[in-house]
Amino acid sequence: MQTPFSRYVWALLWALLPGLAAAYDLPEVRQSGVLRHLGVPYAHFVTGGGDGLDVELMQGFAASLGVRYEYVATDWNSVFGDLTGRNARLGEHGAEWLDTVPVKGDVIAQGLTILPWRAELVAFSTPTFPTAVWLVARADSPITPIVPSGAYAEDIALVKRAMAGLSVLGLENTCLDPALYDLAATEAEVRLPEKHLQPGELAPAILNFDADTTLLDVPDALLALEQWPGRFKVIGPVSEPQSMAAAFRKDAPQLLAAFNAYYAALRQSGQYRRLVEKYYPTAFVYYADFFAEE
Amino acid sequence: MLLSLYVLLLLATASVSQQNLRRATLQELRFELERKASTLSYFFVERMADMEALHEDRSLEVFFANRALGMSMTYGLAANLYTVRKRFEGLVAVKRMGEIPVYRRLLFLDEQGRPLVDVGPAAGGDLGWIDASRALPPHPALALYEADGVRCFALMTPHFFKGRAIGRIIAELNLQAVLARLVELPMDEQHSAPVVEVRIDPSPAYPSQVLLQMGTPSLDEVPPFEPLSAPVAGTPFILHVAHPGAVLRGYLTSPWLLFSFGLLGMALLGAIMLAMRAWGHKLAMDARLYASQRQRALLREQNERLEEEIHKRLAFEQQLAHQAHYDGLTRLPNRMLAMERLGHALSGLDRQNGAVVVMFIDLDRFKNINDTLGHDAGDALLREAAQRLTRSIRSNDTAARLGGDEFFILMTGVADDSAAELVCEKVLANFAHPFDLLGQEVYCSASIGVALAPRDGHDATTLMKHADLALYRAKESGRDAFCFFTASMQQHAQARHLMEQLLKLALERHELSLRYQPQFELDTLQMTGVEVLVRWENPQLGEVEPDVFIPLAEEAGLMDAIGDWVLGQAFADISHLGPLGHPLSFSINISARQLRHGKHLLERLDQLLQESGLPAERLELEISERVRLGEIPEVGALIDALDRRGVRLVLDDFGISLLALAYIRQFPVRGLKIDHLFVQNIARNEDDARLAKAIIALAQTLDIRVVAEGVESQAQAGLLYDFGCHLAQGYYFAEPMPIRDLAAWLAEGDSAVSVEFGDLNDLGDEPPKP
Repeated sequence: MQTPFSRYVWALLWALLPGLAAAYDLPEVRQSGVLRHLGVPYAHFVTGGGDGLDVELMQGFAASLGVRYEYVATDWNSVFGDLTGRNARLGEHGAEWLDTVPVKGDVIAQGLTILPWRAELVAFSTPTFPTAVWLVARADSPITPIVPSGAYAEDIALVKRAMAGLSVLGLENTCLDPALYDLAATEAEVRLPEKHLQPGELAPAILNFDADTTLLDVPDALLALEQWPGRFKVIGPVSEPQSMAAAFRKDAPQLLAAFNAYYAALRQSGQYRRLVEKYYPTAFVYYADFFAEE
Repeated sequence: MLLSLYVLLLLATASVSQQNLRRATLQELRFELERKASTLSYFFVERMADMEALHEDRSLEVFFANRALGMSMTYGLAANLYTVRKRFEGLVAVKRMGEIPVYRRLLFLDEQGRPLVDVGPAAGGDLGWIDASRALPPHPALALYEADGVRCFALMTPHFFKGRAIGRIIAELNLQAVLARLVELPMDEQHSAPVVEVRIDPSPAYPSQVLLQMGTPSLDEVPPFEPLSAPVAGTPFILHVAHPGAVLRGYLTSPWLLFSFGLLGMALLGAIMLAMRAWGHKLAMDARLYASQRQRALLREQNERLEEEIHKRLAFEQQLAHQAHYDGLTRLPNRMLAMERLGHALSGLDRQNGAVVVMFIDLDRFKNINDTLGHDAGDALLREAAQRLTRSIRSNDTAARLGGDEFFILMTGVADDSAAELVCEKVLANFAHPFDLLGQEVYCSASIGVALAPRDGHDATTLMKHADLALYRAKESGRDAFCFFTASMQQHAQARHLMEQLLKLALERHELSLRYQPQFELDTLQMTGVEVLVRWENPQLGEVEPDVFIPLAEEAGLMDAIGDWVLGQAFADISHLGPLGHPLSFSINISARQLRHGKHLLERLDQLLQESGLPAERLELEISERVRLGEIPEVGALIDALDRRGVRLVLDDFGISLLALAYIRQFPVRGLKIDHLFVQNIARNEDDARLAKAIIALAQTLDIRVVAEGVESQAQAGLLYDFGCHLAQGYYFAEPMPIRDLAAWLAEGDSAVSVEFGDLNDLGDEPPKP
């Protein structure tokens, strides 16, 4: 039996020598006796109060492995480095690797949208939540919501046309990164927050006149509409439909497979639906297909 | 006549009661109807409150606010509408009356009459009854309509957003079930419920119609009934009782019933009158019976009291008789009964064979036990002694207590002395066992005096006296013995009596005198002291020996006076000797009686010592070993007091009992006198010689002076000297002499006897001459 001390020494060596170290996969997690969940507080996925849809998902996953659950707080700039041992960012041609850092966790789960550049860094699990990015404006702004055309691409084009001449708030390195949606091609004024903000803080920022509009993903937009009724309006979509998922190291395929198996069983049993009802009851209105009983 | 009046009264009362009852029942029915109407009204008020809450719900506000901003259902608005629908569904689920849902359907219709929300069990149903073209009414309204063949009732309330009606909430009620639950009038099982209808109050908007009818009209004849109704406040409904059901029937309505009641009443009245007459007779009989019983009880009670009184008196007399003839302590016959029985026995002496035996029994040392252990122990001893005596005699003999520790036995038909002896021995044997006196074992023997009739006397007095004399002799012989009366006892007693009388006069007549017997040291033959002896010379009796008159004086209570006289005279004599007597000690015999009065003795001695100026060290007090010192209270303190003064205690007659050894251990004894009985035989009897030698050795061991008494020969003196005895007195050395002879002898300056002890074996048996 391994003592806690030797377990941590082993983990430290692995973290300091990423190039030399062997992969830290499911056997190592089981051996260490702990699953380290990397998370940034975001919407109802990680509330910051000790719960959230992804927090409960990972707690259940740890229990299914027979190991202890541990939440490791991180931020949007460090979250990939904390998982893989190397920081990264969105470059002009996809992902850009940055400096080497110690590995702090085994899985990212925080309402993380699956994006191509992220897929270069990590291995995503089966999608766990559907999403998209909407343009949301302050109620008193001159822009009016589009009349849905019935075609997604057409609706996106209508929105991009409508935002001409208005300021749009986005957030680098997240799913709300304006670079992802080619906003530079619009006549909108793209603004990035002067101070460090979380994605959940963009809606209040436009109430504070930081910009006329902001990019928000669907879960966050729905929260804002409920929280400040009549203060926001949803103009329309900026992105195609997207998905969120848990992210694992690419050299941890066994851990990824174990999660996918656990998640499939959870959906099968109906427990996942109950979790979603708890945190996102309105999600079923938009994504009835996604949450259909299996 | 009385009967007719009674029946009329009964019928009238029944009729009035029936009317009152009917009025009260109708009143109660009216009240119940109004209460139901009030409940129903409240139910509709509650529904209006539900509608109000929905209109003000935040979800509706959000939805319409976002819709007003132009948001599409596709992008955002659908989520808001979802929340609204959840709110509506929640209300349908919550509002129930038991198992019955209050709402069948909840709808939100927009301005065009399109349903935004449609929930509830009847959701999705026909909406054709709504005229969407009509403008929305500005206030809540009721709607009655047929939908899917069901009569429906709905509340319609307009929804306003920013002051403009933009839709309406329609709440279709589960009316039949709800009304049935609220309007039902509960009745007991034997009566059918009244028929209640819920009607619409006819108005321009609604024609009159029956919405609901509860209960089934009975086919029975219904008494005249004015229908009751109660409006439901705030609604167009009226509650109406169309048929009273059995409420107003079932009371006293049948003339046959009334006739039956009347007949029953008459029968009851007749029965009561008969019962009262019978009761009256019974009461009179009971009263007479009670009086008779009471009189008899009174008589019985008086008789019982009388009998009780007689019994008490008889018992009291018997108790008195018993107390007169029996001893309370021992339950034995007392002196009176004993004398009666003795007289009776003596009167039949001629007719019976054998003698009549009278025994006097005295408990030895009873007084001592009583004084030492207390009266309770003394009483216990007497009771136990009585039982032992009773066990010792035949059943037809009598044991009695004459008083104190004196008991009496009367036997008749005794063949001879030996038969009486057997009884005496049995008594003594029974007294040989210890007595358990309050947990303490004590030995107490008895002495018995026996007299027989006719041999020792023919009358009771004589026999009693003779038995007493025999008892005296038995005691004199050392107690724990029995003694038969003899003629000599009579003579002896008479002589004693005479002597006692003369002794009482002896002091007055100066017939008592003192003699002084010198004591010598055996090794020097020097006189060291004298023993004071008392003599009685009576003109009639001649010289009486002290051994005879001293005990007599003790018994006659003369010893105190004689002892006092001896002390005074001796001190006077010794004082007269003056310097001649200085080296001498003088021994004075002290009686038991003087010791009992120790305080007086001590005071007398102090006085004499002080008056005479004699040193106390020269005084010796001789106490006979026969005196039972242990029986004399506080004798130890007296002897200690004497010893502290320097007065020496000498045990006289040493060796005749074992008690002396105990005395030596217990008291400060300074000297012994070997009894003359030992000394007489020491030259002839080796046992006596050995005893004398042992006594002397004992005294030497204890550092006690020894004086040999009664030395009458040189051989005795020589042996005593050889045994280590230092002092001796006796005729061999000098006879007791009057004080003047002693003074003369001392005056001659020769206080030694002229005998040589160099070779004692050469000395003859002649006493030496002074």
